[in-house]
Amino acid sequence: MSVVLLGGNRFVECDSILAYRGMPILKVGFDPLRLELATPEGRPSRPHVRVDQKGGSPQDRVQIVATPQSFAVFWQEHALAVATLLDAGTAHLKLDLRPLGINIYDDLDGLHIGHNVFSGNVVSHSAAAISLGD
Amino acid sequence: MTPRLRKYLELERLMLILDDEGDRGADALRDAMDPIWYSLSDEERRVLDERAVGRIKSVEEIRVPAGDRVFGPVPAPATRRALPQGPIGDWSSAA
Repeated sequence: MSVVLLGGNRFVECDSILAYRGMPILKVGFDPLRLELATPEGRPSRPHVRVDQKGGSPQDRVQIVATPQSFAVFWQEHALAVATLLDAGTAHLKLDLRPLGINIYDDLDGLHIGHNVFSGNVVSHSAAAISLGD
Repeated sequence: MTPRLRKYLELERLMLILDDEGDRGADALRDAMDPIWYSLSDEERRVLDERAVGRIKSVEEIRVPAGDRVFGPVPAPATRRALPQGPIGDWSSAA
C-alpha cells in the first residue's frame, strides 16, 4: 500500500496527488521512489515544467536529485518538490510550486491551494486526490 | 491557524461529507457546531466568511476551484544588493 504524507494530509493509493482539469500535475511513484510533475500549459509567462521517467524539462532550469530514499525536483535554486521515503510504502512530500506562479505549497498549517488550506484529510483510492477545476 | 479554528474546520469537513451522503447526522452536527462558531473571534469568523471553499464531495477526492488565486504570475526574482563597503551609520535601532 502506498501512502503519501503532504501538509498534514494522507493520500492512500491515489494515482495522482494533484490534477488540473483531469490531467495529472503531480504523481508519486514507489519502488523506486520518483515524482512525476507536469504543470499546466497556459500563459507564455508561466513556465511549463515536466518531470517524468525520461528526465526533466526545461533542462537548463530543472534539476532532479534522486537517491534510493529521496527524490527532489529543483527549479533553478528552488526546491519544487522533495519526496522522502519513510518506509517502503510511505513517502513524505514537501511541495512549493510558487516559483512557477502556482500558489500551491505546504507548511505547518497544511496544504495551501490558493486561499484554501487543507489539513487532516485522508484521501484513499482516488484517481486524483485533489482535483483543481474551474 | 488557531487550534479552535482547526477544530471547527475538521467538524465542518465531516458535516459536509455527511451532507453529501444525505445523512441526517449532518444537521445534528451543524447544530452542534453553532457554539463553536460563536466562540470564534471576529478575525476567525472573517477568515471563514471570506473563504473560497473547495467543497469536499467525498472522502475520496478533494475538489478545489482553480483561478487567479491558484495560477498567478511568476514572482520576480529577489533584488540583490551589494554589501556596504564602509561602516554602516545612522542606525535607527539595533538588536
